Amino acid sequence: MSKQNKDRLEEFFIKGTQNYNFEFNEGDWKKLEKKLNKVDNGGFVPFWRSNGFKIFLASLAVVIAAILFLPVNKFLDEDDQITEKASTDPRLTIEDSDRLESNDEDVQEGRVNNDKDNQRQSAISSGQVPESKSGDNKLDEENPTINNQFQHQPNNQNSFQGQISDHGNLTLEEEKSSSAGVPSFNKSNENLIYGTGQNQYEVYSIVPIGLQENEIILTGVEIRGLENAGAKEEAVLTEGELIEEEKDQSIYQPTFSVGITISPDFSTVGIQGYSKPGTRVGGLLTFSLSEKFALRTGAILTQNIYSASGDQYKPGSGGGYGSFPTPEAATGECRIVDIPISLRYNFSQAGRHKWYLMGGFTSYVMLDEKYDFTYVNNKPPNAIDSWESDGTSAHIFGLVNLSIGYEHFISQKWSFQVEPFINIPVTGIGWGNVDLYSVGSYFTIKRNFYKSKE
Amino acid sequence: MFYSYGMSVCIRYSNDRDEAVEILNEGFMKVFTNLKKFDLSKPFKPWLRKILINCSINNFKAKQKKFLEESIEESKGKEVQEEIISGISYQEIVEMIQKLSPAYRTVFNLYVIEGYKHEEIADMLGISVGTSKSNLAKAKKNLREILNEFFQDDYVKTK
Repeated sequence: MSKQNKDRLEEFFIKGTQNYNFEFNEGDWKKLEKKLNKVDNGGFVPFWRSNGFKIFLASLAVVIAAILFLPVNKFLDEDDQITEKASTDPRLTIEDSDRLESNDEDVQEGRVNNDKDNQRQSAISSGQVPESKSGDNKLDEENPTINNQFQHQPNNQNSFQGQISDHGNLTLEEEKSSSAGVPSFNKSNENLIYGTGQNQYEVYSIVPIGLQENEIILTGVEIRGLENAGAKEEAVLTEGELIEEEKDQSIYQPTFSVGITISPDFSTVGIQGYSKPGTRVGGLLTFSLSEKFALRTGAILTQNIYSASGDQYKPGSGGGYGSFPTPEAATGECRIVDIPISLRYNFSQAGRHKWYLMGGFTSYVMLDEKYDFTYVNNKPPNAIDSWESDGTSAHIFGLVNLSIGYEHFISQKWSFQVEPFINIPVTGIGWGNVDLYSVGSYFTIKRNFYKSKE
Repeated sequence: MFYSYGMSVCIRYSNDRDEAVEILNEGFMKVFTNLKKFDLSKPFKPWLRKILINCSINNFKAKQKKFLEESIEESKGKEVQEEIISGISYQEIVEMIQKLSPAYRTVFNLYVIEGYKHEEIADMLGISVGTSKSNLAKAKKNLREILNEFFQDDYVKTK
């Protein structure tokens, strides 16, 4: 290595750089100590200490927290639906819808206290609706049962009563006692009719929320005026129909959905360490198979970045570096198009909220890949610093994908999902044939489409 | 003990002290995690030096790869021999080297201070031998200018 004919400039700098004297800096050692603390295996950050795994756990925690929140969500969501209908339905001729909402809150409390929700759900689903015990079409204050009538459950001493104005509008008023001013509710053969003559109103939607022995407790009613009694066929729901409406949660059961998704990607070789995060961006299609199951596919452009010791790379068909010496470490970066086919199982649903498990296989197309090699000791003369390829290659079902997710419907059309996932390799990936594990969390916005109703 | 030695290597390949510490720590990490590969029958310092130089090269490649693309034209400038008068500190010499562009600085360090041949440097950095020679010539030219500026022509006499 030594050379002759060194000019004076060279000699000057050779000589000048010999007289070093750096005082030890405690801060520098602390930086090194911090790095050393992170190291557990081969100089790489262990998988379970990586930020990727932390994000994965955080997303998992969000989903689990949402699951634990399920009972409360269930109640809140039903209340939302009632309030939304009361405030937006143009057919509702109630002058003071706020009061209706206020009464809904009263009912809400009563419902929570009732704590018979599950019992009600199962009873309604099985169609076990109590039959009328009485032919009396008047509201019986002493016996608050539904017997072919309806009432607003007078919980907390609050109830509402209706008044029919001269203009045919219904005004609801709160009162502390249900003992006075309770309107009469008549029931025709099929419909609940309120009032008389031209001032008739009919209940066209009721939402039962609790079923006790021989009684249905109502969260609220929706009432519209009838300009004449002959128009009452329109949108009038019988009790049976109302039960069907409750049973049918198709309001948030899209036939198929289109979504765009983004996720950080934390890839690691052999669950030993990771380098730095990559990204995942793509489009997803979800086809509903039933209320519980759906099929999802799509295309996700993935940037995987990962590090591993050199012997974890098994390049080429021979499983080795061929004529090249094995490096001490290698860093890989590749762009892949993932094509997952997964089955989704909705294990829980409450109105706007869904929780699901998903699993399937992912095929992938390798767009390009690049590897940088590090030689700690003396670099062999024929060693390569890097290897890269722009050639594409495809691997069918090279990964198993597993995830758990939470979906929230912002509206019927739009929903978003949080879905922590893990991809487990079935085959070696890329030129290095590495066992590449990936974790992350998909954040997806979905546009939902529904089968048109007859 | 090896801190000062390690810093003396890394500082020459870096833009500043912080970058040097980064490289040094990376080097020590590799030393700690590869100690089993060290041959105890050989002296430690050359092994450490080799690791630090490799780390410096990796750092250079990662951060300043574009500088490798600099002109490969051979320097045809007249070789100038200087008589340099002593009276300059180690810190000032390092600062002069740090004023070079990363590409020039790396080749200069590898060739002049570490003693590698152009063929070896070309292989290490993934550049041609011509580029290595060119970068060295330009590095030396720049250093002469820096020295001239430093000594304000009074201390550097052209033969």
